[in-house]
Amino acid sequence: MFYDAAKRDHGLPQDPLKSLIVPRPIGWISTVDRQGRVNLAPYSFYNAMSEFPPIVCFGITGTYGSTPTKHSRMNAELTGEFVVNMVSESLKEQMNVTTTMVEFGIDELKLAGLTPEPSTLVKPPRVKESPVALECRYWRTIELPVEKGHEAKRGSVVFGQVVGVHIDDAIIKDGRIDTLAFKPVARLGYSEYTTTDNVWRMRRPDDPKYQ
Amino acid sequence: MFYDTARRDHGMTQDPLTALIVPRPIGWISTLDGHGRVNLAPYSFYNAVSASPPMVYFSTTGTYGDNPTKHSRRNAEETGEFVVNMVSAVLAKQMNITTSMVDYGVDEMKLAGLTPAPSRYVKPPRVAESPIALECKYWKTIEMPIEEGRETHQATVVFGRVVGIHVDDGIVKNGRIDTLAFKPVARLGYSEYTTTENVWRMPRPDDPRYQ
Repeated sequence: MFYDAAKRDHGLPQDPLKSLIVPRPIGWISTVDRQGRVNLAPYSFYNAMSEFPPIVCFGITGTYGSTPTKHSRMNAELTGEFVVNMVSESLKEQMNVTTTMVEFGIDELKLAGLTPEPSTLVKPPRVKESPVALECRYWRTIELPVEKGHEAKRGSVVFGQVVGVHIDDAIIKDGRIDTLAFKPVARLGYSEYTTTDNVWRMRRPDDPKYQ
Repeated sequence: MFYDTARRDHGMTQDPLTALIVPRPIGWISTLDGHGRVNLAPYSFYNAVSASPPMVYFSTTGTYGDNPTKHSRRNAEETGEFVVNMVSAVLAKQMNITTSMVDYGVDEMKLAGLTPAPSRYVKPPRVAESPIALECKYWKTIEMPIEEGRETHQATVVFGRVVGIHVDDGIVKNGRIDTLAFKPVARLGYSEYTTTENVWRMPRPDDPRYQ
């Protein structure tokens, strides 16, 4: 089948777009507001964008309750800092609790029964239970185009530079990160998720030595 | 363990960064150069970034042979169009062939034994064997910051608006995209990949009806 992305004439009961760009990594982002109150929320329009320097970004859609943008973006812009925590398989239920729509200033980290751990270079705490945490300094926000008739769903992308990295020693084996030791959760379409349960190596034809 | 990303004092033989932002979806991007010659290359700094309007982005790092940017970026900027093809499990080997460093103008689609199929709204062909293809119009490029001493590794992010979508009818079941019918390949760290082989539903606590 073919459909026009503007007309959305796919004939399916639910819009399939997000199920076509998969699996999406989850950035579980902790921030603090000006009063130091913690916020924690998962984003799947998240990825690395540069290695030198290390840059990550996350896309945000529309308004959130009475605040003009989602809390994570607002806090990142106001304080200049955020932390990206890894959602391992054992943390999936807690991650889901943090998707709940709550008022600005409510601490989802506490709501999910998680433990805040001080970061080293930035103020927002990291999730102690996460096997990986990336401490980031806010760089900039890019506003995305507006779709006519969907003005409230306008997106934006927040970029940050990774300045410090925490890794649980238990997921390092033979000097490498062992993905199967934490099984990252990733986002699919609809209400669907997946867990990384298999790993294989495939070397570039022109660089067979890189393992 | 903790390390400072500017010092990269992680003590491991290989830099772990890309193993910490996982699993990354793969955008297998087909473009045309100014002479109409096909290019096909995979990018894992790729994701959806907005649903209204549907937008995707991918990042390219540094120079490519004699060219100042990778061919996909150059072609997308020059022609204003690109197509993102899905790498299903059965296409993993062909995808890997298209990572080979070849000269500008060499058709990696042909090199990998794949079939070009015409697109509807844009000129670059899609990969006929891919179960999903997103036809995109180039929107803009954002230059990432430069790391001192790593000037040739500067990254750039290319944004595009999805205008037309092809979905193989064989992966649509009960009105939903069936991820396990094509098993997308995703990128991990080092030379590692994974295939999506499990799917579960986890509705939001505040929206239990959305399945």
